[in-house]
Amino acid sequence: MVEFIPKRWFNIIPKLPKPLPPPRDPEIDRSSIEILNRILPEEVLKHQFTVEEYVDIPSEVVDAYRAFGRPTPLLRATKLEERLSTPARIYFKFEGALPTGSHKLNAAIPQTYYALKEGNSEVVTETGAGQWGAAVALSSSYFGLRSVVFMVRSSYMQKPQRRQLMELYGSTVNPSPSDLTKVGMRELKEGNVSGSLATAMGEAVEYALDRGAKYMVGSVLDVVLMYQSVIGQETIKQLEVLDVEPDVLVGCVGGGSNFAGFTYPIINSFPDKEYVAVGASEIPKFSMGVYRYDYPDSARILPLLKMITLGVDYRPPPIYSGGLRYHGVAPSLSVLITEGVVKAAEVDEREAIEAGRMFARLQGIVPALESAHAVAYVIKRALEAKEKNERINIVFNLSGHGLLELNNYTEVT
Amino acid sequence: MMLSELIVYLTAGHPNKEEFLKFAREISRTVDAMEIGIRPRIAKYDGPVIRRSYLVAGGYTRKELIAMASGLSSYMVALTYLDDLIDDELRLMKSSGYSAVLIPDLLIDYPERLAETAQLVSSSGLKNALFVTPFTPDSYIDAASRLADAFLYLGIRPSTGIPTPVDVGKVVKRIRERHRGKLVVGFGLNESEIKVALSSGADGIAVGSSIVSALEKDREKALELVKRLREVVDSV
Ligand SMILES: Cc1ncc(COP(=O)(O)O)c(C=O)c1O
Repeated sequence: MVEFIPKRWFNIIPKLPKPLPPPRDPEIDRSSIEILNRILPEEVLKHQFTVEEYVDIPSEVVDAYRAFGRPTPLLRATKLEERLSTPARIYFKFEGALPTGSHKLNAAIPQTYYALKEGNSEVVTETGAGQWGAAVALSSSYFGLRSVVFMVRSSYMQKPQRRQLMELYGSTVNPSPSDLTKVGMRELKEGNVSGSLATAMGEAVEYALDRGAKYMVGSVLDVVLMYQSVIGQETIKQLEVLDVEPDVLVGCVGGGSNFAGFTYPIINSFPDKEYVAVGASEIPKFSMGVYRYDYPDSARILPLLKMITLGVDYRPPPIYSGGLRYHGVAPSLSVLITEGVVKAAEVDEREAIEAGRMFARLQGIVPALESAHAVAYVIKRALEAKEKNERINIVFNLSGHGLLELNNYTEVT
Repeated sequence: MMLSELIVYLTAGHPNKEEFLKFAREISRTVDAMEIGIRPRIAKYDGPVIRRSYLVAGGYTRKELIAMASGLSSYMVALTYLDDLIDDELRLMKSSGYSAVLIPDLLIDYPERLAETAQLVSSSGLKNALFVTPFTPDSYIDAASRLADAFLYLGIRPSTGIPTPVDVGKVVKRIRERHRGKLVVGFGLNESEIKVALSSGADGIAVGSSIVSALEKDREKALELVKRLREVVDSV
């Protein structure tokens, strides 16, 4: 019997076609790199800066992965293939099978584990729609830590179920902006009550600095991408068992963590396949973004990262796919796109919603709207395969389910 | 067995011309080589201490700063970003007695110019000290290893002088396995990390921020620090 849960994380940095520009400090008398020392668990920071191709996963973390349902299933979308009458075969890795509903748990488990191991009792983070917050809430309760989540107030009001899920796991959820931090109070004073991910991030970091809680990072940093590499490593083994070699690999991109976690191990094994990163047309970072050093957070607390970016002051329009509303792309993914190893595509929300509906009706699974962007691209690519009569294997990452945001599907007609 | 090398970094003209020259002469017999930082327009990969030292060293042109170090040590390495380097500076470095050039941003921001730049340095009569980081991919470490006729310099942290946690042993071993020539390790090493770096295969270590910081306040303290570092390096 094949053991599917990986025992090591994979880091693509030593294998990149071009060197990865390191994080940089913005100012003369302040070091943002130094601030990371104070807010992140030491082991997480060590993983960020000690680049090795493979890093052993602690057995406690492997146990948690197993307890929460890893390996996640690799399924074939036969009914969708039939409906499209495409010669292509369509497979998907279903990260929505994890209890909180998305891949985010893969990165929350190690970060909370290291926080606990280093003697901390409390962790803090921010969340938009709530997928990351729920992952931190669950892994905190699993390891016996207190967790505090700053949730963008507009989502807090509109998505009560995600908030309730976090509270059920024992998390303290604060609508952001809040009066618990200076960042929050400033925003409230200026009348910005509905909040943004950047403000929530600023509040979480300030809370971590003031109260000594450890800050949990949801995406973008290379170390988070590495923690997600369990997805792709499992996929390789699952495809092997099916005797399938992938030709086209697709995932959606917010900061890049599910895409990287899914594709990087596969890029390492099959470097010449077609890799497609799908973003939202409403946040046109692939078509309009520039590759340069920029702030990952609009509170400008974290160090500068070289990435494809629309600029930290870019204000994303209010689309439903909260997880895709981010101005940048993780540094390593930016290198792979710039070097042409990964192709980028954009899909608009209407296409994503239609694709998500079609997928739900045929395959039963309701994709998170973020993931529905990948589904929409896969459908296009499968139809193209039909035109060219290509008998290809398309494999995509279904990063999460959308059962707690069904109104996203019903409100748009 | 060969003794490990101690390389000390100084910012040219810091804290002022007289003190810089005096200190450099005082340590010239204690250290194996000196790395001289020529003030850049933008100190991209430097921490607060080195950045401040560049400001203090203002008031001189880059050429004056290069020439200032003339004949200070038997092995001098000029440190400059590629962004700032102009051709005739290399000739000036050669005539001022430098042996090698270290260009930290070459493999970070201009990897495609590696071969061409190394060739330019060689044709000026200088040797190549090539800068790699833990983020440098294997293929570029191999390319740099072939071209580094002075040494390979591993900057183990993303910024000088910021004590981010790094597993020094693992990082050094990864580079050591791919590079047979001389390997120098630097960027914010503390005493125990110096020992780990050397016992993991480094041939020498480079120290900058802590000395520059000491020199800002008290030359005697900085001197003591260099002596202490010599002892630590020799003890491994
Ligand atoms: C289900 C789902 N997919 C994708 C994303 C996008 O993030 P990333 O690109 O880091 O995977 C999110 C972010 O919240 C998400 O919740």
